[in-house]
Amino acid sequence: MLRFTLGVCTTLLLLTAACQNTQSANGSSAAEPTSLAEPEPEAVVEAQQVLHLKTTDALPYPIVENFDDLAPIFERRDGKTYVINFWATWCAPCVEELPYFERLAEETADQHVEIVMVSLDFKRDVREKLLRFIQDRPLNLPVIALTDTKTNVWIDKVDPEWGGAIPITVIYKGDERAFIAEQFSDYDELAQAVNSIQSSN
Amino acid sequence: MFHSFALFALVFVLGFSCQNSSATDTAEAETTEEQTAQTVSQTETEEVPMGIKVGDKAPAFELKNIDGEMYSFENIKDANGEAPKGFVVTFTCNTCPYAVMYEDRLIELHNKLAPQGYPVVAIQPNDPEVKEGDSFTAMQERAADKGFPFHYLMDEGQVVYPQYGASRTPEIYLIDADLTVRYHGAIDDNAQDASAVTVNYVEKAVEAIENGQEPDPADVKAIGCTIKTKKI
Repeated sequence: MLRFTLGVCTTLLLLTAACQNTQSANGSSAAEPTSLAEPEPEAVVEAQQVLHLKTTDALPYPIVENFDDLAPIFERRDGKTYVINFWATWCAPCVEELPYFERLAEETADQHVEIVMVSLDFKRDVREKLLRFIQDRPLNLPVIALTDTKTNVWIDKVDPEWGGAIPITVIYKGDERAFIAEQFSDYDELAQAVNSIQSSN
Repeated sequence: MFHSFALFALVFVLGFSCQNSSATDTAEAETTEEQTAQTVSQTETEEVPMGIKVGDKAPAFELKNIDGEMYSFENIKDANGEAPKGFVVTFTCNTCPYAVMYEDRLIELHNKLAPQGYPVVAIQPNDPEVKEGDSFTAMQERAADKGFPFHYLMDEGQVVYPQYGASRTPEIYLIDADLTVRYHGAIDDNAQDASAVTVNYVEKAVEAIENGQEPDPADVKAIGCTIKTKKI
């Protein structure tokens, strides 16, 4: 709990600091009075890479244009449990289940659980709309924006069972894997799914 | 604990693969489907919604159009007033951003293909009690605003989409005059940018049928919105 609180504080601090930094560093807005109420779209810089993926430009998350660059996140064999959710800001059921993943991060903070939220927001939205959503919430989970439009190629690579509708969630540890092709109805359903994979050998 | 989850997961995965059997075309996936069918018939006596895949017969339907009339394969005509050579059955809705991105392209598709004998038949599969924006009235309004030249049918009671195994909007089933599914899946290869489309799968599939060939590819996956139902 302490770790989580610390994490939130640090993130908030970073967000706040970053807002000010970017505004003063940004030539066009440098002359304007600093306003925290209306942060610039590129304002948040939480320089934290997600697994092997480095953040893109000044954004607090990586943008991945080719699924092959993302693929290694499904193949990690380090004893950790990975919870990978595909979502988008435009997807109502996805946004509805975000709190379950936020709570999962909180409850498993001292465990070997890595949560990754793969956003399928449109290419035109990943630099502004997605960023605003993350800032406003704020969403303190690792996010990766996947903009590969060759969906016919990569959907099967995530799971051949997947028809293409979101949300979906992949949970795996080593070779133990679950593919959940629908919205979780509550936190317990997600926690139970994670726990079954986590407690497997 | 683990066993009960495994069982749950199995039943779930089986159920899912059933509904989406049409979306899978690899040999591996087909093996799974066969096992699925067996297991389901052993464990479920209730009627299980089954999907269809390319090569299967398209389930018949009779649904209310936005003009209040009931339509089926029997009374839908092409742009020349003739019995169609095929139907571009499209599960779509008002509220999914992906469906909305395809509205103009669906209109174009109909205007191009209906004169050739392949009208678009749009079916709205969402439960309007879950998605108010997909109510019959909202469908009428959207169709009027956009000037939909095709039928826009309400899947009242959500009985049709499970028979097709549709899982998302938009999702296409190209059905020939014998009511056989010849192509399933995406409309084209770039949902987000119509100007960057390199392959129009539906047009290509119609062309193949017209030339007496099998559409290739015959099944193309795409991202979309889940079909909205009440949680059981």
